[in-house]
Amino acid sequence: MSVLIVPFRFFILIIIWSAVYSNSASDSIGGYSLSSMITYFLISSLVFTFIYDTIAEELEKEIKKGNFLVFLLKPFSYVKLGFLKKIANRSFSVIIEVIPILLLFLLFFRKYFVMGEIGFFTISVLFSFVISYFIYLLIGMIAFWLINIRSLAWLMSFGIQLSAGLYVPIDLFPPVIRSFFNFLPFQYITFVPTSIYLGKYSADLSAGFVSSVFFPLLIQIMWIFGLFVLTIIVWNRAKKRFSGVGA
Amino acid sequence: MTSAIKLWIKSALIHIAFRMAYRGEYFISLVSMFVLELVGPIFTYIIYYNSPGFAGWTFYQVLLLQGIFLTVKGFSFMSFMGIVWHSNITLQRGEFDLTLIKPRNPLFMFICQSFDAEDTAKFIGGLLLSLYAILHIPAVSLSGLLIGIVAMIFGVGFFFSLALFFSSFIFRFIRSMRVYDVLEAIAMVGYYPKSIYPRFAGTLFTAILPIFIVAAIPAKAIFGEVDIDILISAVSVIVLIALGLYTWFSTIKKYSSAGG
Repeated sequence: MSVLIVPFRFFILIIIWSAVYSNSASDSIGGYSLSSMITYFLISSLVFTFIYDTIAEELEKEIKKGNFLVFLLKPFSYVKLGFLKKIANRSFSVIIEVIPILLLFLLFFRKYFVMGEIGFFTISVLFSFVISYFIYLLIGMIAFWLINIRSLAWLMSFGIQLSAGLYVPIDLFPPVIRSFFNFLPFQYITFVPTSIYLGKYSADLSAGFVSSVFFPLLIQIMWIFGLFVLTIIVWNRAKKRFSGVGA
Repeated sequence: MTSAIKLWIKSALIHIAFRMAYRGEYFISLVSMFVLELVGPIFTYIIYYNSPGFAGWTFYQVLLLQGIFLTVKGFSFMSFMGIVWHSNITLQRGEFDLTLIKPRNPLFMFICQSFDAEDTAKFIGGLLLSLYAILHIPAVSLSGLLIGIVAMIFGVGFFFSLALFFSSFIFRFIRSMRVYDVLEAIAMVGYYPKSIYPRFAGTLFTAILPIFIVAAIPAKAIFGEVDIDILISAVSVIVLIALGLYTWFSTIKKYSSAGG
């Protein structure tokens, strides 16, 4: 069914943006041409498909049912196990989701595809893979306090996806909102890797470090470190709240 | 008829009472349901913030269209669209027999059992969004408003026909939950004005799969632009409902109660 749905969704997206561009006096909106805008949505959705994480729902389920006890008995950290499971799961998704979506897009809408920077993009996606894992694990850990977090997790996921630039590139938001997003790690999940792909950052250091591609990569590393430390602190406190009763 | 309405209300209240057992979670869920539907309006706001938007449409006109869409979708999902999800659960467990032995029309019973307490937020949110947009649109006539509401009722009818077709599909092909993705993909079309679509798509979504009757046509009627589209789509909706009912009742005859 995805074979029909995915091209249809892009078809609608192309119609919407084509209507907007044809009514605009300029060929560029917020620095994006029509092709780069459509490519933005393609690449960001592929990145999100690759880094998609279910750890929050899984952890909530284990805590709610009391099955988390089993993991405490095992000589292996749940945090590490979850990450390894994610690697296995999402590697498979590259074959069954990412590549087919890309091929379908190229088959139907090739003229809207912009070839971009692959090397730094790949590195950035790998960093975003780790960042998203820590973020969703932290969301899942809320279940140690609240038990039932399904709706809260939906709400938070929406906020994350919005500020990650999955629905709209975040540089199109008004400056106040954009500045707020800059304090959050979420744009480093999809917006930054996609911007790197679209060549918004230069690999040349002569224009300055901050405008080079190395700067967002460095920020990604810093977020990984910060979120790792936060995860360890919260995890150690959260585990103590687990009663093992379940329901 | 009165007893049917009483039964539906009773069933709705039971569903709400059930969710109220965990009221904190329920209220967060209501907020989530509404917020998740705000993607369209946010997307539209960003478009209008950065460009002149869609030709012939102001921001508040598009916002009204999307508010109407959310209202109709919310009402439909709250009232009967749950039969699609309910079909899946019931058939997997082979529990449809329980619906069949009740002394009521099985489709009506199925609808009562499928009330979705969470989608009330979409419905109320849609109404509020529409109201907010209307306040910013000058010269909305009462006649336009009434025609718009009639068109919205046909929009509900369109969702009802989709619910019947998708539910029938699940009866034949158990565990086909990707039908929800198809539904969302069709819904995506209805979130934007008809004028942005190519002519063939405009005809397709007015006469064959009339998603424009959900919001695009009612919104235009409210602005005072009534054309033949409303009649074409209304006839199409009536035909789709008739076909949907025929399909659903034919399909349940094949129910085997084996589960899946």
